Amino acid sequence: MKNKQIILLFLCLFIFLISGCWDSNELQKLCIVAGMAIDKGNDNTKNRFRITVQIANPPQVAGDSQGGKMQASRVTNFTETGSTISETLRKISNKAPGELLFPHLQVMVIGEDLAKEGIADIFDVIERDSQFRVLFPILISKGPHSAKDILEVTTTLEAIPSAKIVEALRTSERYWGAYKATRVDEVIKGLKEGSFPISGIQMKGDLKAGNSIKNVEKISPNTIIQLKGTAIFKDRKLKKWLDLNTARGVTWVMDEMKSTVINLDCGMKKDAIAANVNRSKTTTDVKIKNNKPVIYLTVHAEGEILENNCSLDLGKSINLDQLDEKLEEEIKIELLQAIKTAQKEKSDLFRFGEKINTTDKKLWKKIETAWENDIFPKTEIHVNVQAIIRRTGMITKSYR
Amino acid sequence: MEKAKISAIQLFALMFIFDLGTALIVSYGVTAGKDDWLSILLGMSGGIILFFIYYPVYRKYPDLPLTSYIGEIFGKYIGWIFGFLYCISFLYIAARNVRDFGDLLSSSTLTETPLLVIHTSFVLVICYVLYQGIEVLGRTAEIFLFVLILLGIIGNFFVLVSGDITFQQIRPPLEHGWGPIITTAFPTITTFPFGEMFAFMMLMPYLNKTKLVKKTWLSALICSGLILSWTAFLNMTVLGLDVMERSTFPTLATIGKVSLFDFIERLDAIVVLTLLLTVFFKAAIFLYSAVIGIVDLFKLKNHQQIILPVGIILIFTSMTIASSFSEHLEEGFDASIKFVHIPFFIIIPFLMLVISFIRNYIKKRSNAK
Repeated sequence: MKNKQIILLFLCLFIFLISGCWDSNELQKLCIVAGMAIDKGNDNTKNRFRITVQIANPPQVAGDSQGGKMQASRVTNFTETGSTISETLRKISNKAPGELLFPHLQVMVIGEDLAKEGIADIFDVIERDSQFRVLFPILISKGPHSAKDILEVTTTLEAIPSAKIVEALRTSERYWGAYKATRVDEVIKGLKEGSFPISGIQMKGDLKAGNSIKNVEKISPNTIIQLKGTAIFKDRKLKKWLDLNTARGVTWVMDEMKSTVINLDCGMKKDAIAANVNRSKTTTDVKIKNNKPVIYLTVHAEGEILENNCSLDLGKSINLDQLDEKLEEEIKIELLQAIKTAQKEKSDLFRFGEKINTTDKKLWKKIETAWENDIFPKTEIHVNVQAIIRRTGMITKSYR
Repeated sequence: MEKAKISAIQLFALMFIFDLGTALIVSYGVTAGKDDWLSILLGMSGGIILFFIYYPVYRKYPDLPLTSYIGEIFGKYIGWIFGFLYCISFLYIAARNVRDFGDLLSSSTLTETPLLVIHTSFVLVICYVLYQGIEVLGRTAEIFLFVLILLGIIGNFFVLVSGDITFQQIRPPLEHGWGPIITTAFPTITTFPFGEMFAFMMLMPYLNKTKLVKKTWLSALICSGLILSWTAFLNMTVLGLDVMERSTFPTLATIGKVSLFDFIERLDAIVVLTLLLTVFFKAAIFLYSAVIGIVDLFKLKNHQQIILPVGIILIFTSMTIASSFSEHLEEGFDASIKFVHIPFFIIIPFLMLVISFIRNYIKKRSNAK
């Protein structure tokens, strides 16, 4: 009996001992990092990076802004310089009120200057540290503004600028197709293998006006941030910016097109008809001819007419057939443009190398080292597009 | 030897969990490149061959643990030394398992907890179960077998529906031919984890129906081999060779990639829990084998009185086994395979088989005379 009492006493004592963890932290004392911007530091050895973290301010984000007055900004940025990412982030603790918490990091913006010098040194810590996850997207800030500036623009509709960027990226990927979200793990894979694309982001308007709560008090804000351009990386460096149509061509080739809108000519009138492509599949085939790979791309696209600003009678299937051909032509031009640019830049953005490896691993072993610089630019690439317009919407003929 | 009996299903559960322990989580078999799953299947067939080396020896002494009859095979003194070496090697592998577990926890989830605390609490629980005896361990395994299967189903389901699987990552098959696949399968995968099942030679006498040994052993080996191969396959399709080679715990990285509807995320707990359960049983079985070996060799009264001392040795060994995790892994895939796994789980059992056959032969001839 006495034994039992002693055991009970010990059990009660253990409650106090085992209930806490070493690394426990109160929620309100943590600084939740929503976004991160990495720019080139002012010095190549001492301060290689300039890092800005965006910390969400939960009461301001959650509180109803209608009734109360807005006192503080909904996010706070802190900037620090250093030579390694971890050192710089630790230095920020001199400024931030609590421990930085990274698992909720939504986006990372890399400055163009740094990207031009190489981004190889950024991702090791993200892969190594268990705090980071490798699933958030990376963007490149397209000049003249730095990545830090991008995160300093206040936004409406989405309280946290980083979240706004991510949402814009997602909707753009879904409905426009030109700018895809490149996740960290994809970037790391690309760094290892050679070339890859990352979407760009740009600030439009006045920097000072953007960095103020007044910016969002206006109906049309003075300063906004928008996705713009796709950066081609080769040898871990930014090589070239692709503009809209070429960027969309990259999405086509990589079979990542979800939906987009393409304008078609109608007789003499240019860009008179808008077609929505909502299903698309690109298959890549590699054939070996004379010990050289020849690549065949086939795009199967399906769509519908969204808008018709000319007198064409869409009720007649023969007219639709003509539009099909025009759509095929337009898509083909975009693909060829993207391929041409990639070949000119000697960057195999599309990972055709992997496909060659699956088709003929012996040939690939022979050409692997010379692939990107010598063979890829000269490789024959054939594009075949089959597009079908399935529907014309609620009407056939336009009112005109 | 304690007086206890376990059923065939309990033995199956123990063996099954034992094989999955650590191998499911740690990076292994990557030297075979994109075909690591094939390499594991080959290793499994190697494990089956090993079983047919162990089995005839066991059939001769179905009621005795290894340390008792090893003396009869090798002679009294050499046999005793071998038996003792076996106890030490079991203890060493148990320590390695504990360290695997501790390092995973401290590098992924409990980043600020000292390793010693994790090890101590873990080993003390193992000691407690073993103090209760093999029957309790068997029953626990029986229950946790279902928990483990459930965790496996949940984890697999989420990885499969997450859309992270790209079959391009494992193509082309046999990228570098059969060479790397075979050198990885033999001896590395054959011995770890399948050869390690030799530890069950200490537990076999507890089985209530000796006839079922073959069935139980082989079914557990094949089930676990298939699961290991499948997991390696899944990891490769999700992560790709490059990440597989670099990551310390590929399965954890794989499950970390699951992100459904921005809502089902961070399922790391599933993997950590799986590791916790499997390593618990694996380390417990090794520790138990070592303990009853010592009891047998030193003619002690029961195993309960030395569990805690041996457990403390286990904690100490697991802490001092390596100064860093890299050193620990290096040792595991090099020195430990060469100096512990191959001699103790392949060479000595083979010698035992040969010698016992020769002895039998001599005995028959002398009887005939």
